[in-house]
Amino acid sequence: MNNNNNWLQSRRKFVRNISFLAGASSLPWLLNSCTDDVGEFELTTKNFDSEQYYLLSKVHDVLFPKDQFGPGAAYFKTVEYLDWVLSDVNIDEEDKSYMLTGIKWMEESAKEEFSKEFSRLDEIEIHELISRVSKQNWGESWLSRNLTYIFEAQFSDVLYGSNINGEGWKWLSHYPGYPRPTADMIYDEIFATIGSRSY
Amino acid sequence: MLKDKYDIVIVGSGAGAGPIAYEMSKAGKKVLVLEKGPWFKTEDFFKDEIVTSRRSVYTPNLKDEPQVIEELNAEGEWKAKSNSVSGRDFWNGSVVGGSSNFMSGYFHRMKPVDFTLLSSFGKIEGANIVDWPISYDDLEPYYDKVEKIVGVSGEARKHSSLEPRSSLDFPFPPLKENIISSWIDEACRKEGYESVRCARSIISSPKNERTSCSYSHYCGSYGCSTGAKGSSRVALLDEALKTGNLDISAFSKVFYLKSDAGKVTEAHFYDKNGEVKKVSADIFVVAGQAIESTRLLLMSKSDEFPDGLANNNGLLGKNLIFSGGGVGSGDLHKRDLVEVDFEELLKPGVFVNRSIQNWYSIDDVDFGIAKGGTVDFLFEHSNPTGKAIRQKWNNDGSLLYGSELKKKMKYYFTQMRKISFEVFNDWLPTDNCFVTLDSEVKDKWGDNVARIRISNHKQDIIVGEFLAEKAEIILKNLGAKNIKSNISGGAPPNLVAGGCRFGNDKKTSVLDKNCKAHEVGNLYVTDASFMPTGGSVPYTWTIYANSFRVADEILKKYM
Ligand SMILES: Cc1cc2nc3c(=O)[nH]c(=O)nc-3n(C[C@H](O)[C@H](O)[C@H](O)COP(=O)(O)OP(=O)(O)OC[C@H]3O[C@@H](n4cnc5c(N)ncnc54)[C@H](O)[C@@H]3O)c2cc1C
Ligand code: SF4
Repeated sequence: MNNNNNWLQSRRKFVRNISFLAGASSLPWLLNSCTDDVGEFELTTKNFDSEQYYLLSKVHDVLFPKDQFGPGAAYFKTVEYLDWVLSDVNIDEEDKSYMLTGIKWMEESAKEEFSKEFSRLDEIEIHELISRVSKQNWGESWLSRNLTYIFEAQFSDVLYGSNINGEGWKWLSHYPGYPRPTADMIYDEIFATIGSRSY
Repeated sequence: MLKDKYDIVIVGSGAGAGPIAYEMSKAGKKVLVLEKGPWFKTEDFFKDEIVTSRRSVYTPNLKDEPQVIEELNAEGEWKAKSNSVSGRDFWNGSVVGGSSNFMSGYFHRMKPVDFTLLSSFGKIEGANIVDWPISYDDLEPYYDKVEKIVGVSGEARKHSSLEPRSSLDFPFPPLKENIISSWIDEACRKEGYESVRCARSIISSPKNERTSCSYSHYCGSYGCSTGAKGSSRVALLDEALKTGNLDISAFSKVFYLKSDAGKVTEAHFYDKNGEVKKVSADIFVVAGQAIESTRLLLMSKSDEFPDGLANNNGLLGKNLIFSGGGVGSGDLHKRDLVEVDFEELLKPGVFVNRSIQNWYSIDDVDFGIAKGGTVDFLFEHSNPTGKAIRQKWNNDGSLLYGSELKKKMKYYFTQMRKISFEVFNDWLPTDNCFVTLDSEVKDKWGDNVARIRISNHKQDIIVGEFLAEKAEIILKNLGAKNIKSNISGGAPPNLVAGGCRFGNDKKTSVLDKNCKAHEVGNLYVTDASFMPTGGSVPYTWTIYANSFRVADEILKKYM
């Protein structure tokens, strides 16, 4: 039998996890300031290096900008949220590599379309690049997948650390429903919390 | 600590299992429930979209426990694919209480005509229709019992297709409703339809430790944190536990029923650590939901049953059915509804609870005579991620993003509300809808998984479209825009039945009329597997009622 049993995560792992994820304030990405200012921050993502982080934050900003309607992707720490998604032990490996491969394709497209690195594109060029790739099959589906994670980030419970102050609900007058989860029952902890009980 | 031997061992803990556990333990029998999933209690359920709807927490990871889905492709060839690749999940809830924890609890009884589909409407080419070996009258006392014990709220308002009832009215009064319910009543009146108040397995006043519904706004797919929803866990197992006669063993995956001389002697299961455990009993009841119940019997081969337990006539797994029909919707815009208080329409939590059953049996000059079905009206699910995902496409199918997307979202969430309907009609049983064991794909324990061939009969679509047209007229009357419906042969994984047909003839059925396997002296199947035809309503009320009926039969026979 393969021992990939979610419900068997040991208590020790649970405790270690909880120091990492107990409340929103101890989530590492909340220590970072706004992603607009990528030059100064200390990278904490596990799945992205600083160039990938930069690319994703720029792409997310175009997909979901701060505007008169409400906060944007940077406010909801959507790149950090995506990093959390890709760190999930249960994620399908193909889904994970798809998200990472998309970053590579974006880098390649920048070179093809503008003959320069993504990091050297100005704002107008980034918008233009996204507009062009969104018309290609791969680009449309990769950008769409990013949007889905942007939505998850802003609508997830405040405890997940992205939906800061519940602003993801507030800008849409959304009623989130009660009771809200407790720290030991959010996705990171629920397997260990329930699995460690003896009946 | 589990005992080595029980009076009765039940595989699964959902709607099919709960009534047996309840009745047997109340009758003083020692009962063991073996449930493959974990045990969430009422206080463990929260409104967390990530846990509930975006990841697999209440259902297995498909890499660990896949199923193989086989369907016709566009070229008319059967193509099989593991759902670990396709992602088409047919698990509905693998926890104590099963998927009954996560149901929305729209409750309809089957009607007398559903028990005599063949004699009432005749043969249909390509469909294996039969009459049931029991009648509505046999089941009525148990529908009534479910109302009282599981808890069903509603109102027995007179209408032309109201089923005969032994109790005058429901034990729990109707739930609170959104203003739209009265608009639907009015729209139906204008069109000459009867607006039926849909019953729900949600209690509107407290019962034992269960508090009444808090109108939490997140009901279907979510576990209930008040205990109002009539899950098998809270309504039946929790009550049965009070007798001291019931043991529930979570994380206990049954993979083999050992039999000898026409009787099951032991259930073999993997515990949480993957170790094999064995338990014996006088009576065994299988209720793992239609697909997995069949799979367990197919896996339980022996010299006496080389093709699977109770399968010497080769019928096990055949005539699997789902719920036929589909969905439709329309958009109600604030700008179009100036004379009403739009905030009332946006009010969270309260229910729509309206159905149409005028065409449960169709006798229409143009359409002809046929078995019809039910339409339930409801609001779009409140999950915000789900709602937002549906906004990210332009009308031409291209991706929408940036401020234009946010503008659309803002409008969608604050300036309109989507009203939907669901159509339920018979999914006719055919030779091309069945469960077998896949010869290659295995689960994490190394056992062959279920292979599900899915195909529907064209009549299902014709009837579904007829009903959807009627429902669309009501949406138009409400002033909805962008009205559309989608009736398809797509199988709803949560509404599944058949595979162990019951009947009086051993040659044409797997179970007898009391849901005991014809060939096995002490084996019962009490989920929806027994149903030879499914009626034109969701199944759960009937599953509960039938399981209470079987419990009585077991008590009569053995106790
Ligand atoms: C989101 C949702 C909404 C729904 N809404 C409605 C509705 O509005 N109205 C309605 O009538 N119905 C509804 N349903 C359907 C309803 O939940 C089911 O009809 C009902 O729960 C089926 O009962 P069951 O006993 O067959 O299966 P379940 O309740 O699913 O229970 C089966 C249990 O058996 C366990 N099991 C399976 N195999 C094994 C094994 N080998 N060993 C040990 N345990 C095993 C499973 O883990 C599971 O817990 C809904 C379902 C869902 C998921
Ligand atoms: S409290 Fe009411 S609305 Fe909420 S889950 Fe329970 S039954 Fe559904």
